[in-house]
Amino acid sequence: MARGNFFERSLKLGACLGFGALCLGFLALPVSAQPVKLTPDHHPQEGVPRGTLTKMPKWKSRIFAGTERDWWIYVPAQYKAEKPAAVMVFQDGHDYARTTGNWRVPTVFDNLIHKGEMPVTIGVFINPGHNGKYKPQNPWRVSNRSFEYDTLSDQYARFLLEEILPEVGKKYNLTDDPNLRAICGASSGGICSWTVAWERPEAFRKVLSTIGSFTNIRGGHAYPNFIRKTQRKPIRVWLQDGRNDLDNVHGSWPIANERMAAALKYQGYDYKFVYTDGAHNSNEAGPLLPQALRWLWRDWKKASK
Amino acid sequence: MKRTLTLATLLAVAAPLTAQDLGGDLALHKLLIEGEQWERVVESLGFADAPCGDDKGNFYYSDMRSKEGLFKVAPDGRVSPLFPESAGAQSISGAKFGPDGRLYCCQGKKQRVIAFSLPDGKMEVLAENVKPNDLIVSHDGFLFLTETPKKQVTLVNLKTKKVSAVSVGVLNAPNGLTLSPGQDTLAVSDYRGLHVWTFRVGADGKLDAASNYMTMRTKIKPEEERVPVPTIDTFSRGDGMTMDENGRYYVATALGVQVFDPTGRECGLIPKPNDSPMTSVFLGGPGGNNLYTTCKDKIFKLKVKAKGVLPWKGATEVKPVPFKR
Repeated sequence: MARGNFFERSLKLGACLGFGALCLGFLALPVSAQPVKLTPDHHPQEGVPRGTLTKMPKWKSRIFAGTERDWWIYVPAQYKAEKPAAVMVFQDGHDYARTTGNWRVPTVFDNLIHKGEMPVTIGVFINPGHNGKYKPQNPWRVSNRSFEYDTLSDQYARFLLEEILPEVGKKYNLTDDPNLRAICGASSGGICSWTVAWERPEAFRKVLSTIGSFTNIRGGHAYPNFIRKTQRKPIRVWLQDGRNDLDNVHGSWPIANERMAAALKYQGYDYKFVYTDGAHNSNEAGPLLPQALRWLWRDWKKASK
Repeated sequence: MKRTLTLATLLAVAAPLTAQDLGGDLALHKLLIEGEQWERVVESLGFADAPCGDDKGNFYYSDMRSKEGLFKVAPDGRVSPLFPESAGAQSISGAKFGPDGRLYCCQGKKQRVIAFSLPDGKMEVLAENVKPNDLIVSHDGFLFLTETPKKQVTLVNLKTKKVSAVSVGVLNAPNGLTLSPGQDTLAVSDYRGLHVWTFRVGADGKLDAASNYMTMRTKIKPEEERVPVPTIDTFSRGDGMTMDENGRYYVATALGVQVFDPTGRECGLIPKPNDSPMTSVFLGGPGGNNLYTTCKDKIFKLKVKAKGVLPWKGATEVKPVPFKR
């Protein structure tokens, strides 16, 4: 199946280039080896003021008792204490906060805020918790990630609203307008972001999910059915998945995301589904981040009045 | 050959039937009005319950911690106590009109079922030493009430004044109840269970054919243990019920108002307006199309594309919902 898609894709590429020999060259490359093309918004631009990223002391959670986690706060240069700032929370924050990789959120924020394409937004980058003795080097492998992200309850939403945002609010003036609060994640962080808005639409109304795990890891495959049979909630959501994403014991990620998109469409949600070729990584979603943010925040000036 | 023919005939007959059946699916779209939201009717109450209505668009409720007890919301929105304090309408947890135009009420605090005539507030005691929670009255004069702690549904025959148990031990906690438009089916919600149960109503008001007909969605519980599947609450908190002329059943639950079609399939969920427990639901008021919910200290309404039925006015045929693509 994946092979067929790859052929089809390569053929399209070949046709575009009109270059038979090069086409054969492409065929020999695995998909992941294709270079990731970031946008100018992913790079610091001259004349654009740069915000600050601060690593916070490890957070010991009450709601996820016994866990601790790493987290960071980004504050844009344009932030002024007298004006409440918009908020965007990133799950698996370590991946989004760094200046390398496919996301580079602080730089993208600098550029988009400067151009007025999104509001002055404080970024909260938060990792899942760990409750074991020996913390793994790889932040994706901390012990409590699946429990916190894949569970369909309101527990993680409460963690953000009762622990993290109040802590950020001690130092910074945050808005409580739900239309100016966004949440983002990939894979299990994607379904987690959706769950937060689903459980607390009065607190978060903008969701950005890439390669979201709307599969049966802990029951997340039920969402399309819930969406079809629940009065529409005021949530705006941007979804991305790739046709070569995972297919395993929990389900098929591409099919799960298509089912989400179909349910959102049926119920009349303000949604956008971007279906790419890629696999379970950020190679395609990363370059799309500025575009996704522009779409999510497109009418922020009206929302903030 | 013969077999093929039969199959072909069957398919030819079945196909349009199936299309019709699916076209008749009572999706939420056929109920909800684009742009309509929960609207506050009253607030700052002690504890709201017993929502009900008459055929003039008046809406009634009980504030269980007030001195007058029952209140009326006129079609123009004006709120007034229904009776003076001396009428004795305090602590009413369930109320519905009956065929004689009186308002029948559950007064658990005094362990009795009572009826008030309007507007004078004259009271009659119909059953004593009962533990009533909620009730519904049919046009034939069958008053069904739930006695939640006794796991019992009780019948008060308004003609003979006889009180008898008609269902014992079937539901964990029988709570809200309503009648189908034809009044031949009684639906009862199980507060400490997953189902709304239905019973066939006999000519004498006796119940049989108990069936766990509708499955309610429940809350997903935050769990300390790392379980691979979500733990769902086994208590729906299914409470007060109402119905519409299309035969839909509505039940107040922990998640909000859950709506079921006449065949017991889930139409969908209308989430709660706030975090307070939702105790009951009633479809009526001006135009008959306001879905009222009692939520602790507040009452909300939502305008919908369906009309409530008034069982005390008589049995009605189920009205089909227009087919729309």
